[in-house]
Amino acid sequence: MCNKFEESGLLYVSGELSPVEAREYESHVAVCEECRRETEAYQRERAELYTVDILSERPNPVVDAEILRLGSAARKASTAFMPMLFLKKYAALPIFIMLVMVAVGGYFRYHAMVADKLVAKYGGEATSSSPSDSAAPAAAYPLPVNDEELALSDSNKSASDTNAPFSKTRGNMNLEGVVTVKESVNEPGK
Amino acid sequence: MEQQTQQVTDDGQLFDKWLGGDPKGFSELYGRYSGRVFGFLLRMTGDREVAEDMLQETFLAAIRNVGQFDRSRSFLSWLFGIAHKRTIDYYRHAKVEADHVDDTDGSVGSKLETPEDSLSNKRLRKLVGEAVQRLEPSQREVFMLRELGGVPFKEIAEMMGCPINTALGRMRLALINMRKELKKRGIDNVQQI
Ligand SMILES: [Zn+2]
Repeated sequence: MCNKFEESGLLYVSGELSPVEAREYESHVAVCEECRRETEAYQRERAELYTVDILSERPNPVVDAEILRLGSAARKASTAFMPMLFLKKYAALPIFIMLVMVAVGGYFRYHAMVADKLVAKYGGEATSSSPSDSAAPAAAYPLPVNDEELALSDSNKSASDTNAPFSKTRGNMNLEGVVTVKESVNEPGK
Repeated sequence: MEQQTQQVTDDGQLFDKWLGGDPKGFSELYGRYSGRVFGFLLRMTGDREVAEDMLQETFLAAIRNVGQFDRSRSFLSWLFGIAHKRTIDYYRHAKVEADHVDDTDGSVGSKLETPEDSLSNKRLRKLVGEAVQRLEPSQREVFMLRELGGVPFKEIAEMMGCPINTALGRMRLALINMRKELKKRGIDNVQQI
């Protein structure tokens, strides 16, 4: 019994052999009756029985409709409505950023106040370069700007984080995910 | 081969359409492949409702993981990879016994009455479907992934976590057993059809 059909013939028919390997198999088939018959039978079966038309099945049209609805809606959601999804999902983030800004601002204001007190306490030598006149405002203004930049880069990071589950749960969609898609689709549409 | 390349290109264009927010991209890909994926799921589970749920899960997983699609590969193979995972989960969680249908052979009932009977595709689909259902699950898996999903044997072996020789061995057995089962159902010689 020849095993060449199993080893190479199947790959030959499915087009997975390199040109050199394919020629090699063809020359084997030319001298091996068994492999020739098996190869021809398989090719014939593929052409006449194992066709897409015969092996395919249709689900209930309701299922088709539902998947198509989810499919087109999910695409819209993930492109056009992404910012809204982001806001919805990360509504707490802006509040957090504001708190940080207040905290940082307060920190510098406090230091400015301390500096003012020090200046008041230890006299006028330092007046011209008083931290309260120049350093403190200089520190107070750039900082919120930085915070905004921080907030922006933060939000970018978070926006890409929203995509993270998509890439991490490769092929592991569960029904929770389905619900998420539905929700996120319906919400921005309103 | 050329046709296959063409198909891959077309899929890529539809895919871009879909990614670009045009729902037609998705609906065309769905129209093109859902029947194959469903055929696979139906034969693997033997349960229409379960297969319908899994079809939905498969396409939704595709939607969610759309960024992971490797453009150099075939979209259909990728889709079948996802569907295949659903069937693994199904077998694992449902603890489905290898669903060998009781051997109360339906061959007599479905035997062709006369040689002149032209086999409509509908009838052929039924008989071939029954034969596929009879295959031992691992053979059925390879057979369906290859014949319906067009998944290369190399990728089938990866999906099933087995050496390629094992996948090829299962395929050969599947072909032999399909012939036996089809013969029981009156499809003896492919040339007659
Ligand atoms: Zn041989």
